[in-house]
Amino acid sequence: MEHEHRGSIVTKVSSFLFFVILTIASFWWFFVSSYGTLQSVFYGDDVVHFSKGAMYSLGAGIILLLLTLLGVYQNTKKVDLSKTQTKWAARGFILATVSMFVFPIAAHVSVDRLTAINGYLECKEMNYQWLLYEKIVYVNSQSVCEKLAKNREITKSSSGR
Amino acid sequence: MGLGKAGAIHAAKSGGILSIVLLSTHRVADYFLTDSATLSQLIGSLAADIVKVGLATGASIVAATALVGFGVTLAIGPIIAVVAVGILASMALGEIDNHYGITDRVILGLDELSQDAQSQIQKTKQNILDKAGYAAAQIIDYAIDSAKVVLIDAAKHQLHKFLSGKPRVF
Repeated sequence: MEHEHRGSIVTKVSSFLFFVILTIASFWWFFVSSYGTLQSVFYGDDVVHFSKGAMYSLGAGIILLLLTLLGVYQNTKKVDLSKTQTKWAARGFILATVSMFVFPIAAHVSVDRLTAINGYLECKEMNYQWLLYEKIVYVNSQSVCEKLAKNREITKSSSGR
Repeated sequence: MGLGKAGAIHAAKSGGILSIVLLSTHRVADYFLTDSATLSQLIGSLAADIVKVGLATGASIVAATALVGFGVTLAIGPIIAVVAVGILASMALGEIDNHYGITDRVILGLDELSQDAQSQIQKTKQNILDKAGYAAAQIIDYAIDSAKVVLIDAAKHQLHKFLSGKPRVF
């Protein structure tokens, strides 16, 4: 167990708000993105956007929620964690961290299958990747993909993108 | 092992530096291996990468500090916060970059800057050439005029000598 300096009330409140805002933002991003993807698939839209980056935010949100709850628990009880509690908390956090990396892969495979069943194909020209962040675009025909790629080129040249 | 606040901050910094080194290596290798890649693309994407990694690292450090300030005494807490917030920040920055096309705009701006510099150099070069040409033309004109005057004077002199009425003395 580590005993570093305990912050003032202002520090504690601002830290609490920092974690709460980040937690809400993570869950919000995950739900909005997932809802958008599933809605596009089930409503048969021409284009389906799948943000793999948003899937990481679920795991990050869970970890941040657990950290916030732990902080609230320690601040209300005014005690350090016992050895057993520390052991279980460490296990929980490690599990959440591992699932944060595993879940996006599982979600990607699931969306891949779901879109294939619904007759979509991946439009590789429109995909985007930066480190672990990935945005995958599925379309219901090759012509839609070509149209999207052409539109992107026009937008790039006209608006500076 | 990066436990505690100091360890987590150190791990975040090292992670940020390692990310920048690996990303730069990847970008440079990509630049040399891709036929159509331009220098503006390399510089623009590298600049955007460094800013994104820097922001994500900063957010991670803030998270580790905030967690300790919050009063959480779990030893692995700060490193977990660094990982979660670092991943979340990099994902969010990736999304923002993709949505607003920031990297593309930076590359386009660099391209325009380079084109402007090129056209300015061309303009200056043309200006110097024009001025040099004008100066050469002036010199040639002066030389022709001088030669004309000399020739006319010589012809006049000879003509005068030839037509003068003085009898020849042998």
